[in-house]
Amino acid sequence: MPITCLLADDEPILRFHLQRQLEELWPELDSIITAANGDEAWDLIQESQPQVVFLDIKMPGASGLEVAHRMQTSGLTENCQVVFLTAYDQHALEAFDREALDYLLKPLDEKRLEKTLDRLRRNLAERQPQLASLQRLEELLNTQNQLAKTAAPRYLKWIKALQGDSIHVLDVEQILAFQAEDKYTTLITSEGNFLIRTSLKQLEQELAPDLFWRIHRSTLVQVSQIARVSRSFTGQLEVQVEGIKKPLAVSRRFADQFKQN
Amino acid sequence: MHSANSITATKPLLKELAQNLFFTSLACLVIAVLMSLLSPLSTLASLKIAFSYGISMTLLLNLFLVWWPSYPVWITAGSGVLLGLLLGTSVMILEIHGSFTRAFTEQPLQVLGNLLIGLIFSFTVCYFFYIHYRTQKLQAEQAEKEKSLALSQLRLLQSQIEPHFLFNTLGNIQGLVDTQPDKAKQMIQALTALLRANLSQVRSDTTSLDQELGLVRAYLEIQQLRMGPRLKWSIQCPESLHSVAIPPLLLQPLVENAIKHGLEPLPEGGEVSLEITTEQNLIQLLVRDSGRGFTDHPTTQGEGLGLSNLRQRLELFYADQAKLTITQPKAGGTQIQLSFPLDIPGAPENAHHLPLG
Repeated sequence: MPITCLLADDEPILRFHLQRQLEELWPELDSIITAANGDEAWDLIQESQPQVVFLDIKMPGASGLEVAHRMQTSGLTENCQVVFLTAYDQHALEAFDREALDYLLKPLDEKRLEKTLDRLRRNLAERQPQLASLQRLEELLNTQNQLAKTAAPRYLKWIKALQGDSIHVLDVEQILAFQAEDKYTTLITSEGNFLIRTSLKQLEQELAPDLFWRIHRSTLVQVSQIARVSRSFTGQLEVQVEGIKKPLAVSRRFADQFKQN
Repeated sequence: MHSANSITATKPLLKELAQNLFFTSLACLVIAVLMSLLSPLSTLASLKIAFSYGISMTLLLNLFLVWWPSYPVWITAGSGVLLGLLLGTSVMILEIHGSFTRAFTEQPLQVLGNLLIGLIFSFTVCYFFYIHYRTQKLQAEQAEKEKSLALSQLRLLQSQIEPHFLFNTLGNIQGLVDTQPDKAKQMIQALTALLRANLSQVRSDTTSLDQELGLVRAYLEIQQLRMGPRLKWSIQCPESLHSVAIPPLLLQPLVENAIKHGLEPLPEGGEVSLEITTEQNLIQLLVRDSGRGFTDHPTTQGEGLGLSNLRQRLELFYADQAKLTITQPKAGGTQIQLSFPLDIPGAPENAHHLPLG
C-alpha cells in the first residue's frame, strides 16, 4: 500500500527542512505533500487522504489543532497518524503529554524525529489509528481557546472610533470619559473627541468596572483620571477630570460611589 | 543620576528668580509693617530697611549661585546672605542714626543690637527658604527615582524576545545550514545583532535613531527569511536624522506588532513600511501595514500589550509632548503615527536650580 504524507507549516524553510529529513529517514514514503497554511492543509487532506500528517500548531488560517479536529469530525483520522509541530507552546505541550498525542519541537532533534518515525511505522503496520478519541482533541481545543480567552483581556481594550473621516483605534485607558448624545457616544481624550455608535449601557458591560464608573445617565468616567470631586454652589456634585475643562455632573443616583465612610 | 537629569524639565531661571523676588517682597512688606508699628521708625524708613535686607539678599544669593555654580552652595549662598546682611544693616544704621560715625560713637551698643536683630532675622528667613528648597528637592528626587525605575522596568518588559520567535528562528537556521549555508550565516548574524542590541538597550536610557533602525532591520531580515515572499518591507529615513537621540526599543515593537498581529495571521502576508520625517521640531514616525487590522475581539495573546507599554514609556519620557495615534485606513491594515520632539526634554548637566530667596 502506498504511503502518502502531508506536511503543513507556514514557514517555507522549516517546511522544506522537515521534508528533506523525511525523505532521508523514511525512504518508504511514496509521496510528501506540503501546505503553507491550515486551510490549504485541510483542502489537501480531503483531496489526497494521507496516512501521515505533520501539522504546525500556529499557522495562518486554521491552526494545526483545528485541522486535526476537522479531520476527526469527518472521520479522516481512522487511517491517519497525526503529529503536531510547535516551537514553543507550553500549554499545548502539557496537554499533548497528558493525552499521549505525538508532537515534535522545533528546532527538530534528529533522534527525537527518528523515534517518532519508528512509532508511526509501527502504528501503520498494525493499522492502529492514533487519534482514536474525538473527545480528547475537542477538550484540547477547548482548553486552548479558554487559555487564549483568559490570557487576553476579558474587557474591551481597544475601541475603534471616528474623528472626522478617519477611523482611530484608541486604547481605552486613553479615554477620559464617555458622554452619550442622541444616537452617538462621544469619547473624550486629551487628544480630542471621537465618536462611536455603541450605547453607554452596552459600553458599561464591556468595559472593566473598576476602570470606568457611571456618574450620570449620560456619562461614564475613567476613575483614575478624576482629579477631585466637589459640590458646586448650587449643591450639585461634580467631578473634575484632568484634561476636561468643564466639570462633569454627578447625578444623585450615582452619588453614593463618592460618599466617604 | 544623569538619566534623572536628562528627563527633568527645569523651570526657566528667570521665572524662578521672579517668583523668589515676589515672595521676598511680600515677606519684607509684612516685616516693614510690623516694624513701623512696634518701633518709633516711620513707615517709609521701615520699608527701606526691610527691602534693602530682603532684595539685596535674594539678588546676591541667586547671582552668586549662577555665577559660580562649581563652588559649594554654603560658600556662594552664605556669602550672598552675609553681603545682603551687611547692606541691610548699613541702610538701617543710616536710617536710624544718620551716619556711621555718629552711630558708632554715640550708641555702639544699639548698633550691635541692631546688627544682632538683623542677623537673627535674616537667618530665620533663610532657614525657612532652605527648608522649603530641601523638601522640594527631595520630592523632585523621589519622583525622578520612581520615574527612572518605572522606565527601566517597562523597558525590560518591552525587550523580552518572544520564545516562539527565538525557537522558530533557530529552526530556520537549522534548516538552512546544510543547503544554503550563506543564508544560515546571514540569519545568525541578524539574530546576533538583534540579541546584542536588545541587551545593550535594556541598560541604556537613550539610543540613536540609527542604532534603533539597525535593530529594526535585523528583525525584519529574520522575518523576511522566515516568511519568504509573504513579507515585503521598506524603511525610509533621511540620513540627517540618524544621530537623533531617542528612547530605546521605540521602533522595533511597532514593527513587531505590525508583523505579528497584522501580517502573520494572513495566509497571503503583506507589506510593512516605516517612514521617518521631521516637521518643525518634531520627529514623525509612520508605521503602516497591509495586514488584518485591529479586530474588535483580540484573539492573539498579549495583543496590544506592547503598545500600552510604549505609551507609558513615551509619557514618562516626553510628558505630553509625544503623540501616538493608531488609525485604520479605509484601504485596510493598520497605521501607527508617532510624533515626538527632536530634543529630549530636560536640562543638560547643570543641575543647579535657584534654590533660596
